[in-house]
Amino acid sequence: MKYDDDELAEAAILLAHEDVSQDMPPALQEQILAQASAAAAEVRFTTTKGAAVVVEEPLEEPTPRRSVVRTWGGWFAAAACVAFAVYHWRVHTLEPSTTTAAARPSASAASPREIALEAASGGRIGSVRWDAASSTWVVAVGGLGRTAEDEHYRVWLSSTDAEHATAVGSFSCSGDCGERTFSIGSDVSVDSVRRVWVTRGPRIDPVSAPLAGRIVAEGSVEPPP
Amino acid sequence: MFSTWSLALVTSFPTCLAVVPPRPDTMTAPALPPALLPRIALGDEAAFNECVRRYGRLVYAIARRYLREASDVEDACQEIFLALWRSAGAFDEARGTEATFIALVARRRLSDRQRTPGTRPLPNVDAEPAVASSALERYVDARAAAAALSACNEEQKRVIMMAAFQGLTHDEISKELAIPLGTVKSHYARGIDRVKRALIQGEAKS
Repeated sequence: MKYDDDELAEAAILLAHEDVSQDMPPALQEQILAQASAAAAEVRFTTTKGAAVVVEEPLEEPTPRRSVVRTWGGWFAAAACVAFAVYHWRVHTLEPSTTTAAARPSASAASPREIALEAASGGRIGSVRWDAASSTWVVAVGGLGRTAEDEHYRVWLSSTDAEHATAVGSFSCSGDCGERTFSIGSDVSVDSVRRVWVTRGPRIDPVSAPLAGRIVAEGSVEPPP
Repeated sequence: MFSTWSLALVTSFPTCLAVVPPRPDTMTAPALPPALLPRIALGDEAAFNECVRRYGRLVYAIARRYLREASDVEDACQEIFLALWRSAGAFDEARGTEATFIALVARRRLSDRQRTPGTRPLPNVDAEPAVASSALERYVDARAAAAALSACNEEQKRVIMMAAFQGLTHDEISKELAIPLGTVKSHYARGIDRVKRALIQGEAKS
C-alpha cells in the first residue's frame, strides 16, 4: 500500500476532529477479535484470495508400455537399408561381372590374345582375338561371300578338338563382308581356347551338333609351354 | 497565639502541597507506546488484539462519520481492521504516528464504500478539535495538524476540510465553492504544506 504525505496530512486532520470518547460496541469488538485468527492465517499463508493450498500425495504415473514395433522396428529398417546399400555397392561397384550366371573368362598373361583365321581354300582371312577391356571375342574377317537369307556364318571355339567345339556366336553378310569386326560374348575361358572355326550353314538355334555346316575358315594356337 | 498559627501552618503544609497542581512545564511527557503495526505485519495476533482495543474507538468514530446505518458501521469496522492486517507492513513510523496511519486506512476504506461523496457534513472548523483536547500521546499528530490548520486562513481551512472530510477533488471543490480551480489548488497546497511541516516538526508554524 502506498500513500503520500498529502493523504497522511488529511488523515491527521480527520483524526484531529474525531470524537473518540465513545467505545466500540463490545459485541463488535468481540466479533473483530474472533476473526483475528482467520485474518492472521490469510495474511501469513496466502498472497492471493482463495483457500489454502492442500498438498496431495503425488500420483504415481504409470509406466507407459513400450511398443516393440516402435522401439525395434526402426533398428530393423535401418539395418535392412544398410545391408541393401552394401549389397548394391558390392554388386555394381566392385564386381560388375557377377550379374551374369557364369563368370566371364579372364585372360592370363600366357593365354593367346589373337588367333589367325585361315580360309579353307588357303590364305588368311582374319583373326579372332580376346578383348580384355570388354571381355569379349573380337572377330575380324574379310573376303567372305554373301549368305542366303536362311544361312549364316558361325564362330566355334574349342580347347581340344572339333567334337568339343562350342558355338560362341554367328553373323551374316548381305553383300561382300569385306572387313568386318564384331564382338561375341562368350563364357569360354580364353585361357583354354586352342582352335577356332568359322562355318557356314543354315540358321539353326539351338545348335544341335558341333561344327554344324561347312567349315570356311579355321585357326589354332599352340598351347603355352 | 503564635504557636497556634504555627501549628496550623505546619499541619496544613502537606495538604497544600497535595492540592497544588504541578506546573505544566514540570510534567514529563509520556513516551509513545510501542507501535503495534510492525508486529501485526509479522502475523502477531496478540498485537492485533491490542490494536483493536487501543484504536477501536478511533475506527468506530471515523466509521460513524461516514456511514449512518449501524450495520454498515459495524461491517465497515471489520473491513478496516482486516485492511490493517494486510497493509500493516506499509506503515512508516518516520512519516507519522500509528493513529494517523490507521485513520488513513479507515478513510480509504470508507471512501470506497461511500457512493455519494461530499454528502458528509463538515465539522465546525472553529470548534476545538475533539482529539486535540486529548492528552494521549498517540494523537500527537492530530494535535499538530489541528494547530497548523487553525493557523491557516479561512479559505485554506475550508478547502482542506472539504478534501479531508468529504473526499472531494479539487475540481469538485471549485464547483462547490464557485471559485477558480487554480485558486482551489493554491489554497490547498499552502494549507496542506503547513500541516505537513507541522507533522514533521511536531508544532504549528504561524
